[in-house]
Amino acid sequence: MNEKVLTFYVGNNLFGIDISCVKEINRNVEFTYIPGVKKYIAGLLNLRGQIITLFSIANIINLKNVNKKREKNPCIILKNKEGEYNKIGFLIDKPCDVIELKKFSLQDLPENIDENFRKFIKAIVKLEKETLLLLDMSKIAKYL
Amino acid sequence: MKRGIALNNHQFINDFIQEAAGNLEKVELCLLKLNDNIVDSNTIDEIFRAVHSIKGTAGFFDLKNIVELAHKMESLLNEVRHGTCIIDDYKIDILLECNDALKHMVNNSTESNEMNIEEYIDKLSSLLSGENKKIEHKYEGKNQKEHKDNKTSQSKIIEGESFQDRFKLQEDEKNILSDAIKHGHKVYLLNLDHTVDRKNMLSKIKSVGKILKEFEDEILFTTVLDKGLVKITFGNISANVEQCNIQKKVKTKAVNQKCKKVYRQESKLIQDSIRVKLSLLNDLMNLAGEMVLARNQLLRTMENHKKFIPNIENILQNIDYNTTQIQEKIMLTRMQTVRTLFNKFPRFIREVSKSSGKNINLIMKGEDVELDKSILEALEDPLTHLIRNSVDHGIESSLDREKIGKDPVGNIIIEAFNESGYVYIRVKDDGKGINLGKVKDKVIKKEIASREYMESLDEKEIVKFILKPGFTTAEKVTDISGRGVGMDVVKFNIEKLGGTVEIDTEENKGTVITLVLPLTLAIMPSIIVEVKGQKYALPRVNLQEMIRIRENEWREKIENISGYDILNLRGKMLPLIYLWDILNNSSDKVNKHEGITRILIVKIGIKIFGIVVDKVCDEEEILVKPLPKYCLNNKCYAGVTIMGDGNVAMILDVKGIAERSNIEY
Repeated sequence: MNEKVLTFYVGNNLFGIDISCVKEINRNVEFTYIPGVKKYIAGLLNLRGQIITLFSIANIINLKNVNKKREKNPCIILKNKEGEYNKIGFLIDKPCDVIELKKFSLQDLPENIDENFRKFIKAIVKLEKETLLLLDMSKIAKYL
Repeated sequence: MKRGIALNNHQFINDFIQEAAGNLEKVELCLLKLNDNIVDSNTIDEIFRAVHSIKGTAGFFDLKNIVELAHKMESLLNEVRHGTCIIDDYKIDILLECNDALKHMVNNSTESNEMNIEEYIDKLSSLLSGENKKIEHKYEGKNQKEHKDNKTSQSKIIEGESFQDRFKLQEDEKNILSDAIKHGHKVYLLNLDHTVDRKNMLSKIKSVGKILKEFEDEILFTTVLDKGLVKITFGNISANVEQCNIQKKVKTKAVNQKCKKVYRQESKLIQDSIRVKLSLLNDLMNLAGEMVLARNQLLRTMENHKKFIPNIENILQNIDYNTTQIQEKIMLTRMQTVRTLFNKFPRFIREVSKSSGKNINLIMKGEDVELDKSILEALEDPLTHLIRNSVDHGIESSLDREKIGKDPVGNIIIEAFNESGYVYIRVKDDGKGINLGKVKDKVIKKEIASREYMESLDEKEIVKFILKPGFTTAEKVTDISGRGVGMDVVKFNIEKLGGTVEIDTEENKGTVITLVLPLTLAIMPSIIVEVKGQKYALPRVNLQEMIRIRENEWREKIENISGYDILNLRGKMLPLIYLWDILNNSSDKVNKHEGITRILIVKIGIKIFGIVVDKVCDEEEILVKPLPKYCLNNKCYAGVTIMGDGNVAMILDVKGIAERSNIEY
């Protein structure tokens, strides 16, 4: 991850993903909840005829202290990546800036953080005010 | 180097495999045609061409084994073609075996060079007797004599059709010929008198052209000169020079080895169809489905504004009509003829009838009927099963047939036809039929139904028992013709496609099994139901009936046995399940029967049960989309669809629901 990352909030944490993975950001999407599937699947979304599976990042990485369900969420739709993931998107709470990483230095996540959370985080970046957690998309894709 | 490039190029290899597969199938079919004692040269030629083109392309990819085997087959076929070897059952068997080996090698083309094909080569070589060369020679000599005999009546110009027959050009000679023709040469035949000095003549010809072939008293040669000049060159014997008017035709023959007639047919075929990637077709189909949705939304939105926009009505109608048309046409692109499916059966019948010692004639009708590709693929197993049943249990042995005054040769007819939006596929045999009395006894013995009940049924209903699972599997019951072994599987597979199975049988006359299938799977008639504000689609094939129970009727219609609700439907006790609970794997049975309870009675296999939903909305023809892979672990869903309002709805899988709720299928 050398270039730009898209940052967004889930709960109180700021996350970032490589911007080259992102296809688009949609606001106020209406999706269909599917009962009886894995907890981290938020539902299905009709994106111009394509069925997109929406995931809840909070549930994947076992994030605590997240205010539960809202009626309408913004979401990030990812570009398809052959062999890894196909037609997926993530529900987020609020999209933020796109930042250039080279201005900052990357650090490893402190050891005391739970492994179930740690394994999806590639690195952390100390920004001026906050701490940015960089998501490891390949690891997440494997987990899904 | 060439090999490296060619083999690395997947596109080319795939094209080769596809093309070769088509050719191999053609070979098989033609060989089987020969089997029916219809030895006609066209069929042999067709086999020859198919094998040859496989050889040619395989050569390009440096697939030595394929080339070698194909070449040997070609040699044998060539002898057959020239009449020096008579094709018989044994040879056909060998050729079929070799064809299978080729198939195997083509499908694993990258490893084909490591495969052992000696066995086949040996078999073929043993058929290619050493004497063949001699015989061929004799044959040629005879041929020439015949030509000589009627030379007087022969026209001056030898037509292309008879050219090859007459001169029997070898491959290399053909190449010389086609090469010469490319360079503007004309072909002449020189008749030699015994008076003429042969050597002198040959050198004269060599000085102006090329000698193609020498015969005892004729020389076939090519030259750029025209007839007048040739005459001058040869002086006194000019009267004996004939021009052979073969240019175009020989070229086709020499280069493509296709006789004129077939060449025309094939070129027509090429113009008629092109190869398109399946993924492209699927995309098109999805897009067309989306367009239908978009159209629906447009029409609904515009409904209230039509009055205010002049002429909009016409435009909307136009869009409406064209969208429907486009969608229908695109659906058609995925259609394939049932021929691809049927073509497997001649070989199958041949083998099964050989092993069972029965004499069976297979008749296929309506091979041009079209069905969706995915349905065709899913039909293969059930249909094979039905035909195997007909052979194994339907058709009697020749002796038995003669005893009861039937034709010793049994007939199996497979036919396909369209009727009222459905495709019917029928397997018909004139065997001994199903003994209904025995079916009845069996049902009673196995306690599937009571004697009284069985007595009350008519024939059609009785025969349906052979579709019940476990009807005959528990015990080998050859005495009731064994039919029914696996018939439940056939039924299940057909019903999964949204089709039905019908059986007609008459003792000693035969059995007819009809499969009724929808044209395509992509569009499915469904009932839209609602639970907790969310819509689900339930395939209509599974729906038996819908009932509603008012609060005050609850007590008399629903019983609760140790926590489970049972519906009393006209005396039948049916399990009742709550859709929401099943989907969620939960069981919060609170306030279940307030107001009106709506129950869908569904059937899967032989199980009938009731599904409780909040609301029954509408009936709709929905466009089926595959389930995203992330949701595959829940077997209650068969797919997803996009509703008219643009929202996604899950399609319910009744079988999965039954399994989830422990209703055993």
